[in-house]
Amino acid sequence: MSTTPDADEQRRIDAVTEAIRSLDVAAPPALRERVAAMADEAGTSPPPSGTALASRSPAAC
Amino acid sequence: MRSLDPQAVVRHLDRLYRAAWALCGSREDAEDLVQETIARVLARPRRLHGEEELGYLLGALRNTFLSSRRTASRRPQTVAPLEEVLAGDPRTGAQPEAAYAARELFAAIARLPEEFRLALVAVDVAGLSYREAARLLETKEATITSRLHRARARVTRELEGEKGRSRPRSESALMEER
Repeated sequence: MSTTPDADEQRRIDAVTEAIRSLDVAAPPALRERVAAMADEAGTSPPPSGTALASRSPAAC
Repeated sequence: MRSLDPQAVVRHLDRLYRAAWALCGSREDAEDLVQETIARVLARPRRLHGEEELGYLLGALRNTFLSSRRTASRRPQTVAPLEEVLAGDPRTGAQPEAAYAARELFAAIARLPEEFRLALVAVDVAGLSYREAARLLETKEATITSRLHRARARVTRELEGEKGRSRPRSESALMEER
C-alpha cells in the first residue's frame, strides 16, 4: 500500500501541521504558581555538601 | 558545560505543558506529569553538556512519562469538559473554537504510536529542530523526518475521521503502515 500522499492530502497534512505548531495553550495559573515556587526554592537552596552535579542525561532523573 | 538554571522550568513551562498534554492526551495527566518532572529535575543540580535547556527538560519529561506510563494506564482515562479547558487557560478562555481545536489535536497526537508521537511532540509541539529532536530521541535526523511524515499524516486522518469525512482507520490498518 502506498503511503505517499497526493497533492490534496499533502495540503491537508500541511494545514494540520501548521495548526499543531500554532497551538498557543498556556499552563494553568495554579500549575504556574506551583512551578514558580519550586524554582524559587531550588534557586535559593544550596546543594547539600558533597553533592556532585547529576549526570547530563535526563534519564538520571 | 553549565548548570541548569532552576528558573528555566518557568521560562519553558508552557512548552512543557503542551508537550505533556500531547503525550498524555489529557489536561489533568499533563499537569501531573509536568509537576512530577520538574520536581525530579529540581531535586538536585543539573549539568547541561551542550544541549539547550528546553531539550534537557523535554528529555526529563519524556523519561518521566515513560516511567510512569504503566501506572497512569491503570487509571481511568478522563477527558476534561470543554468548560474546564477554557477556564484553565487564560489564552484560549475567550476563544472556545481554539480550545476545542487544541483538545482535539492533543487527543489525536496522544493516540499515535509512541515513536511517532515523541517525534511529533519534540518538533511540532515543543519546537525543537530536527537535530535537537534526533539528539533527544537518540536517533538519526532522517529517522525523525520519516517519523514526522507518518505522524502528521496519521493525525490528519484521525481528525478527518472524527469529522465524519471518512471512517477512522482501524488499528490493524494503522499497524499495516508501520
